[in-house]
Amino acid sequence: MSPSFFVVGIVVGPTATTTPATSVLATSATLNGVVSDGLQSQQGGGSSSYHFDYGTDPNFGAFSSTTSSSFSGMGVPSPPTCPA
Amino acid sequence: MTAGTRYYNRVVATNTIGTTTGKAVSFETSTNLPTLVAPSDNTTGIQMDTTFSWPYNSGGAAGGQTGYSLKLSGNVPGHSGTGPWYWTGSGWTATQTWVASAAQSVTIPQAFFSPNTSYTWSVATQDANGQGPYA
Repeated sequence: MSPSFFVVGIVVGPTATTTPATSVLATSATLNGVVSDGLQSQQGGGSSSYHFDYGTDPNFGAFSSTTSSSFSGMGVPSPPTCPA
Repeated sequence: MTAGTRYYNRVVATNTIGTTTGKAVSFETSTNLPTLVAPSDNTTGIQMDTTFSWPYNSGGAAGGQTGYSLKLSGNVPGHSGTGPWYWTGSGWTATQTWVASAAQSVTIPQAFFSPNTSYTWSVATQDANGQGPYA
């Protein structure tokens, strides 16, 4: 009798790790991060997206957000975003 | 973004299961405020042409200074009131003016100042990041 196995795909929530901003100038900076889509792309799920929040309030009571971008995969370095 | 300001940022990822927000990090934007060198504060007895000077502060911008705006408060010949007045390269005007120049000093002839008058001056610089604030 041949052994058999069954693979169960599990889609989990995304991960998001913010990394330090680079190219910090007087009126702009490049925002960086690493994101993963929780295996969604491998399970044929819908698209995943990311954006950055930024502002002067450390509690993010008020903030601006960059335009959302789609991505797929695990440990994806977010294309750097440079708010005006 | 504003020069010389601390910002907090975080990355946010979303898929069909939900949304995850990364831990916030912070950074402080640099400043391109020039330093006012001459005439120094409370200088008195200036009788000759006056040289204003300021070292350009890039604040990280590439390309260097492309312009400056010299602002003066006080009575000047040919104008009423105390301003502020802006140097055009050949005289004073009440309209904010930027002189396209990489020069970090300018000598203004005595004829453009009134005798026995106190003045306050400031300068702002322009570079690849745009027009900076007055120092």
